[in-house]
Amino acid sequence: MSGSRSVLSGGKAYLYILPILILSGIFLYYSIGFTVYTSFHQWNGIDSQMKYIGFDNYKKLFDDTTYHIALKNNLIFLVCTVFIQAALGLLLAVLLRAKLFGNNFFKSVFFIPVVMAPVIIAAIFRIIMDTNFGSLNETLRALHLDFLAVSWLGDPKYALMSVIIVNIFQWMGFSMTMYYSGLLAIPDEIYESAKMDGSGFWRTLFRITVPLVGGTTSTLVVLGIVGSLKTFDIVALLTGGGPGRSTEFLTTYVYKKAIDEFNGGMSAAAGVTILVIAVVLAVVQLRLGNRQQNNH
Amino acid sequence: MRTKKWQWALTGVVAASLVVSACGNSNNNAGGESSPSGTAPASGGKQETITFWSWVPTDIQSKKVIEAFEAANPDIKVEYWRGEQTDFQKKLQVAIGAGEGPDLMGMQVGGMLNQYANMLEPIQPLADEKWGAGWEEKFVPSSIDQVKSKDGSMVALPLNLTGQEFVLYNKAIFDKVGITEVPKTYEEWKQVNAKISEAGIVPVAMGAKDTWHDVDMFVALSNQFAPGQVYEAEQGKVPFTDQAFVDTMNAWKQLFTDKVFQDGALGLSTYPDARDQYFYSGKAAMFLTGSWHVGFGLPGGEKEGTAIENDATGMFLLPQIGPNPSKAVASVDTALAINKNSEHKEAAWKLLEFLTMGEGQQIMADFIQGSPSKIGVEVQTLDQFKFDSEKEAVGVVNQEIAGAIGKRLLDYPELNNAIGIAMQDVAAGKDVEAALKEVQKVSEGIAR
Repeated sequence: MSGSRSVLSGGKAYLYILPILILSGIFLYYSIGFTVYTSFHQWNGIDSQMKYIGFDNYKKLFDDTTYHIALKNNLIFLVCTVFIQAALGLLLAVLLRAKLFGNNFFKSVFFIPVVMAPVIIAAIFRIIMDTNFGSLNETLRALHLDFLAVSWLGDPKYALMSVIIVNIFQWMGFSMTMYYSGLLAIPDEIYESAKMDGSGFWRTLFRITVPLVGGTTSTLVVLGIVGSLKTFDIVALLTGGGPGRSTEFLTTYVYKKAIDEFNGGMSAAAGVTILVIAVVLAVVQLRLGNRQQNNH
Repeated sequence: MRTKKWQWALTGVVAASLVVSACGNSNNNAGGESSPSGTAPASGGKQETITFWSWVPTDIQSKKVIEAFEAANPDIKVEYWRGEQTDFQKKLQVAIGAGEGPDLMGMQVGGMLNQYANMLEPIQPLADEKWGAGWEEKFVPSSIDQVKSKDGSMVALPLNLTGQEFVLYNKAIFDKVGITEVPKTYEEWKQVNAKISEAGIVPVAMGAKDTWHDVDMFVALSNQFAPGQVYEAEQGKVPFTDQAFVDTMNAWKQLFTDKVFQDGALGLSTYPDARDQYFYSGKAAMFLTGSWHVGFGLPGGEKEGTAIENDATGMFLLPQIGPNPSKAVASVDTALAINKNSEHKEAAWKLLEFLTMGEGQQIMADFIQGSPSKIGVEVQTLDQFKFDSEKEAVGVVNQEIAGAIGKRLLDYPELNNAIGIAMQDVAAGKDVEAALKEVQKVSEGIAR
């Protein structure tokens, strides 16, 4: 009797998750399946006919220098944004937790870019970072730092760094908020006893705060990895992947192959590799996170 | 118990609505099941709505031209969506790929038209039926060739023609610094630029972030070194590592090293960056753009409301940099095509006819967005220009387009991308030969 009840309640539970299953089935799993299917075909993204070509798209993809550059750029972007963003976010959260005058105001200021549309942020930074009339270079020149007034978005040496800076500007507030809520869970007594023991700001930060917000860091790293692999809008709008291929990302590569070059098959193959990379990185990170937690 | 029933009912409704919404759209304007001749009645009391997507007409232009069409065809309502070309390409590709899309659409000749050809209604039989044999002679001959796909079938009609590479200049700035003649050679151009620089003004604004614009420069410039050779290379008959292209790339590089283009040109898009932040703000004296900008000084045009609203402007052809005279390269700017899956082909044809052969062609010609594709259509709005130099520029541009050395747009999108990237790399300091080798590699991979 109890067995049939559990089957019944199990069935009912499945019914409750049916809507989200249908939703993700259509918009997520079907799309993934279609992308994988397309990646084995020659298709211009428009015609109703596709031609099966086996692994040809993947062979061409791994042979394409632009794809290699995109992978490298994505890796640099990932490492820089994930760690710098998290570090700055933690620093801001710690400072704002100190109940300074106007800290609510600053919390809002740092969080605003998170809710702003990337198209607005990119448009503003394109003006700020303009070589000749941008406020950044105007300021540098006014400070007699002319040698620093470079072409931020037009020089391949600085373009990727500029994109990273703008991305950090946009998402730093998110890390800050996550850490801030993590910090609220740490009892004040711990900080008070640390203070009584003569622990300074940096020592407290590294010996108490950082270990205690390990879970938040882990979450931010996973989100950062996936987020950086998905980054498209800010790059497309700031540099379009250029100059040359200097800021080409996997996503801009996917876009250019599909939309500019009408090569739906190769674009899908690149998309599949992004998915594989994201899954592998997320699994590795979660395993590492779990191991750390178990050790604690 | 009652609550449980409610929960069951609610879950069922949500699930059912999701299934219905997911499946319900499949028959919307799609399916390719419409009658092959597209004989949906365009009259008969009930108003028929057709959709039209393009980048030209612009918003101001579309208001006038569509109003005129609807007044002449009260049984047809046009829902027009306009986007910048890149946005338009994205939207169209997704819609057509899903078997949907507008009834009538803008089409760029060359690569785009070839890719879409299978999804477009063949135009020749329709035009033969409606206009009778010999109708092609009413259009500029080169424009008719360009609306045919690779297999020779005609899938669009030309709205207008535009050319590259032109320089839009601020005559007020030229006058202020004492320049009386527009530059015709590279040396003259550099001298003019030096004078303008002395006055603290940026001489030339170039949006080299856009690969399309870089490719336009490549096609125009290479024709100064070896006329016509770029089209041979496009078809794989000449390698891109040929000396003519090495010279072209070196000349392009020189435009950066000689500081003809403003610092940071590679990080600036043509529109809106270079146009708005530099030229329209009065901070730059010249702006590299296409012939489509020649009518920007007309009342209601783009110039209104900018900082240079009261400055006289003009347009001249890219100065001669190579050994051969500078010539324009011109293509059909906007071709118009009917969706093969449209259920309103007859009404879409009426709009297509209105724009290419009818009153719409004159309205568009008067906006001077491009040169008319129909022979005999004369611009009637020249007197509306505030400045003589702007009026004269129309004559200059039309003359150059008439004497164009070849087409502006190349046939293969991957080749365009490769050339654009190679040009940016060269401008940023990459070795010319190495960059051209990469273009050649892409060219060799194209199935022609």
